[in-house]
Amino acid sequence: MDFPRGDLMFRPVMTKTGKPVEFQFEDEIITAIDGDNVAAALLKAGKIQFRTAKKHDTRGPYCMMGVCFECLVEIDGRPNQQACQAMIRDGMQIRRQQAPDLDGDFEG
Amino acid sequence: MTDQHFQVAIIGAGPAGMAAACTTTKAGLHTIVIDDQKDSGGQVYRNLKANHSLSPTYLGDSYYAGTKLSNDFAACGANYLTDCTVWQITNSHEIALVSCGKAELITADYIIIATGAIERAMPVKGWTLPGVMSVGGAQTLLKQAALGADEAVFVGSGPLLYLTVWQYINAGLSVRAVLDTTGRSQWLSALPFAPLAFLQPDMLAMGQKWLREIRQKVDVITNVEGVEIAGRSRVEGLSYTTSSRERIDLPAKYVFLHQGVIPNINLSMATGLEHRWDQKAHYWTPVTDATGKSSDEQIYIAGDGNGVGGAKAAAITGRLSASAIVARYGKPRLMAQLYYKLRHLHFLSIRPFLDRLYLPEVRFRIPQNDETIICRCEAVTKADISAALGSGATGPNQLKAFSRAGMGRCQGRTCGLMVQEMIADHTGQSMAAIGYYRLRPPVKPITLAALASLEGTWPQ
Repeated sequence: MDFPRGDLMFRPVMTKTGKPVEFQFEDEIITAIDGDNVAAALLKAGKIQFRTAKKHDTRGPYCMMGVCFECLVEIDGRPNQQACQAMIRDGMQIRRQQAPDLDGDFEG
Repeated sequence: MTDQHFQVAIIGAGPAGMAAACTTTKAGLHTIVIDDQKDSGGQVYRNLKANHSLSPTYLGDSYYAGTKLSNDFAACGANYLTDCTVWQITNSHEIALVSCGKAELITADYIIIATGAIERAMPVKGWTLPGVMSVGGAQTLLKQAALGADEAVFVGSGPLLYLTVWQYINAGLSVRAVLDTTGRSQWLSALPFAPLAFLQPDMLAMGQKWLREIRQKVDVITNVEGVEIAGRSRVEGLSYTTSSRERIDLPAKYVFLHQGVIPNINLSMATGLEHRWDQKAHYWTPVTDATGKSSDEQIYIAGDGNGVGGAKAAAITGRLSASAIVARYGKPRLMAQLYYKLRHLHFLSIRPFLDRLYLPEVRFRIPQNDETIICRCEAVTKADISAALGSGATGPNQLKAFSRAGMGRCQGRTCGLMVQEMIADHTGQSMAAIGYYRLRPPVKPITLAALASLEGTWPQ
């Protein structure tokens, strides 16, 4: 599944001060501000595809309040983490959550 | 936690929960407030403390109106658990929770459920694509992380939609368009209740101000129908039909949907409390007396979780439930209760108008397209539900087994009303007769490791 990057992305509307933290998303190192949640940190970096529900069905954050479970990602090896509820931390390793391939082509 | 027993346990730290805690602690009752967020305020006053120090003006007065209540709550002396998931309330009034990955049981003489509201789904074609969010979600990003997306299209109806657009333009974000789906029939059914709404002149004036300022900067297109969002793996654009039957295509990267809010009844239903179908507001709401006392004498329900009334009404109902509990400890607060009841009625005076104006028409409550997903968690489409109905599924619970709709992680919070209404349409029965999913604990997903960490006895 390819995840093309959009031109327009979520941008800060005011200057927020805070300790910068570095985290890894897939193979990319991204800087965020301490105190942001994972979903906000990813959206600010232009990442809006967080997981796949099944083949060709990509999903991203929807409700941002912990209700819809659409923003699930893998954080430090733990699957099913709600990105809108988890706080970003220095050194976090975040991966998109891929749905099991329903055609039987499982990885790992 | 050292204490395991409290006189009052309040679940939710939004306006209702905060106000209730202020009242019970003032009366000297041993109180605990349990909330799943990191900070008090609920959704409406989210991140108020942090925003207050930076004081961005774009969020507006209605947001900062929560400042006094938040400060009072912070100073009230209630025990306060943040980042904590309540997953069950038992018949013996044990509250099962997970805090820092560990399960615990606490007990309380009285429980106030103040779990607020969630957004009603707006299931249009393409609404699962990344880049589509609920308007509440977009607003949360603005409040919590000061993030916004330029050139977004806002689609739907309701006060929260216009408030968020107003906040967006005040924050210096460009908004591509507002597509208002409010139909003429909604205006007609709401108009008779307009005089009553004038009992809330400041609310009406605020709405007028938002609309006026939005129209100066943004295209507001009314009577929109047939909204479809297009894209392969993210939003690329959307199309809609105007009142003059013209089909319009609009490129877009972000689309924010809204069709009002409904009570968040998952915890109250899973607790086995009685609920009723409110046909006018078109949602389930707990059966309570005027003080919020539910079908269980020890459990009260305050705030939007007991019928949507907005933040101010929520705070008043929190005080109403709390003072009723205080009275049961032999400290009657008759004048205070009367005052709260009158204030509540006053705040509710605008609701008949708003509820009718912003109740989405059926074409925005149920997908118009067979391929549109209804249950987002399990990727169940309208066609899948129709097929299950065709094979003889007669109720929401049987339909789960047929289609998996409602069996995902959100536990039906998104699809519940849609599934119920499709069954009602198919069988010709009323919404009340069809009923809702049978909800069971745990009301939020918890890990087996957290469950296994529970010491002592299991929930009874």
